[in-house]
Amino acid sequence: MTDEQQMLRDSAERYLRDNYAFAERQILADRGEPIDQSHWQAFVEMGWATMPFSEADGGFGFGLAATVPLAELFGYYLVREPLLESVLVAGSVIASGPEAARQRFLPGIMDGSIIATVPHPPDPLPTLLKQGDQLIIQGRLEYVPSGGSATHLVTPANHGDALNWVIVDLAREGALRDVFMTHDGRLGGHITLDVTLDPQSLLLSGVPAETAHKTAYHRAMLLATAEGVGAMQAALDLTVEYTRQRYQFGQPLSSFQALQHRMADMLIQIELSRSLLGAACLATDQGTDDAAELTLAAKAKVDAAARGVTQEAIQMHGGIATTNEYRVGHYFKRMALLASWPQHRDALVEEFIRIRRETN
Amino acid sequence: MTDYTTFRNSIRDFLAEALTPDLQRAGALTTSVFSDFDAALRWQKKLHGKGWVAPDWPEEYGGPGWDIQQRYIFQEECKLANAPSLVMMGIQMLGPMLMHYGTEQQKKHYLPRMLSGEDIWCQGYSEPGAGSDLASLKTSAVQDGDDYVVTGTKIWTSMAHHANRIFCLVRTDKTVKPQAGISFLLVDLDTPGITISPIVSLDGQVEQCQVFFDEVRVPVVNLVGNENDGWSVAKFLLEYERGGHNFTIDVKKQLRKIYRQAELAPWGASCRSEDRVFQHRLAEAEIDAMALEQTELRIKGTAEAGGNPGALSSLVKVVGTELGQRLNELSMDLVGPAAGPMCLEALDPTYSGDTAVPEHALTTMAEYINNRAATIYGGTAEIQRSIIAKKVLGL
Repeated sequence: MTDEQQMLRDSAERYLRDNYAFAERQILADRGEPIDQSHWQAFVEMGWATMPFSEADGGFGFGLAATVPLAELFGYYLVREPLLESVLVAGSVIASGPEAARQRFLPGIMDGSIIATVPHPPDPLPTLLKQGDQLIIQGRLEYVPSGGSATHLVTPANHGDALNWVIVDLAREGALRDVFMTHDGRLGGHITLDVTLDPQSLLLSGVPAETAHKTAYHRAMLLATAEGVGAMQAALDLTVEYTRQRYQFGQPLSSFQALQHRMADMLIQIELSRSLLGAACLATDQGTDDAAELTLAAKAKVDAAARGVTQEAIQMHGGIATTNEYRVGHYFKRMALLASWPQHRDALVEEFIRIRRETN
Repeated sequence: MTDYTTFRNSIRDFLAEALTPDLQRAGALTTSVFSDFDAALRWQKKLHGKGWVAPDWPEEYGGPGWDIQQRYIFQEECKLANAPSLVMMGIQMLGPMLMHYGTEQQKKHYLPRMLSGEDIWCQGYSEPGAGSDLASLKTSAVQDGDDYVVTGTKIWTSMAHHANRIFCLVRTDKTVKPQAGISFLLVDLDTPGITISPIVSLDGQVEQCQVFFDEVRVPVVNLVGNENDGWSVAKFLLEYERGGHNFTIDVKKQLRKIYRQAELAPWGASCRSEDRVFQHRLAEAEIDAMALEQTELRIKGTAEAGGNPGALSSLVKVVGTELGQRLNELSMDLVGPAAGPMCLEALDPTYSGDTAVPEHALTTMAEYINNRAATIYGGTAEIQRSIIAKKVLGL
């Protein structure tokens, strides 16, 4: 990490630790507020929305290895605002689009006025029709993460046999949303589209769209992996702290070897996940051949590890952790939902196997 | 900057010439930490000619002066080319310890003999009543003139039946707390009063022994470190036992075997490598192998930067050994009934007759059996978890 990157990470940690209070998060989540406006503004002011974009586009040009520490912190502090998804996933697709689209949408991503989200890899894909100068997108996208809080949807769509990526302003006529609260304190949505788009909304077509497709979903995996590493670390820290303070049979729970070994196993799983995450980000930044394999491995590892770690955290806390008021169960819920994002684990492993067999 | 590709090629060139088919055979038939003893010794002599016996040693003591990456490459190339494993208790454990705690005289005398293979060392730590609770050991050493008189017994002493020397933890003070009354002694196994009795392992072979000491006279100059300071000496040495190993290399070798076994194991009209259930099980293990590799690289990075990886070495010991055991299970499932026949004679590298099982299944059962010890020796998986709990989590 450069000094600049280290400073960004440190200031983020300070801000989230001192300001991102769990109790307030819960009040807003329970009210169904899409985001906390004051936090959102603070995130933007601290430069978190500009990190990955090129200097030409007005960003810092940070690679993934430099940006994932922030995602880990988002996991650790249970940040519910979809800033990093908007910036690192949807933003990466926009940033690989043509000049006109970048100029039109990236400033909004970077100043926080656009919250863009990406759906699960849609099946079937929405269709893109061309009528003269106009584009029409039609389709239905279900369980879109942050689909209720986003202002824009960045989605793949088919025009004939060609893959495209488009950006859809969800305020436009013909964009309908069923919004629901999700168990991780966010707002999801089913989105039905029959929207007329202007030409600048077409971000990519053909081969570049396919490349962007892979890039976007692999970034989504790494972002979720990083969030998972942070969430697991928080769940372990809380568990260690709690078992030290909780006395039963006249001694702290942390003095029982049965529990110590299970906490050691939690740490082992976290460190293994962290190792793969770091390697996958570095490989992605450097564009090495093993980037895809490492990315799939990292996400598959975190899915399994986080399930175990967050379940164990609840078990070792006991009853208190089954309450909505107590923090640790929220890591369990968040990780449960991230497990199917962007695809379920078996599909990732299947893809991992395919790549392995191709390269071996 | 070092050109690692050139370095790797130079190792390969050396192996192509020096690693003769009989030595390779011994490497391929290795079913535990130890290879056929005679082959290992012959291999050590060849490495000694190049000055490559102890890659981790500083140059002043006869190491080759390689950096961490070069050492890794050397180990990897040797292992994957099926070089026999050297008997490492002297080179890997005692050597670094003597460099740190030994007298000039001890270093000058013992270190060169370790490299040449003139001395083969075994480790006298565990006792029948002192395993994980090592500090409760009872073998006693009582000073009498210029000698200690040693009485007691050591067990799980790997290779004692081939060794000529043993380094021992002995009790020199029974009146203080257990850790404070232990000393570290170097003992010649030819000394009168020593009996070595082999222990047959589950696979039917002998690697372990029990060593009995009946009023054995050991010169006081054979003490390493101060009297009653043996516990800190021993802890230093155990960290070497845990820290110096690259599990990723073992795992890569095991995976290579599994790929081959999966090609040869029938599955309907095809082979198990086409079986999706098997593919998923293997992929899960491969993902953990990648995580282990990246964690070992992190440790290497920390060490290169001069830091202490601390409890991460306990972490990789747990993960590396448990993953190794999982891979043994995959192999067992692939070879199926071919794991049954004992074929002990065929595991001797000089054997050239028929065997009841195909080559690819010859070592599978013995490896599965012997690798149960991996989570027991060098600090059990439970001890490692306790270390992690204490040192990292502060419990």
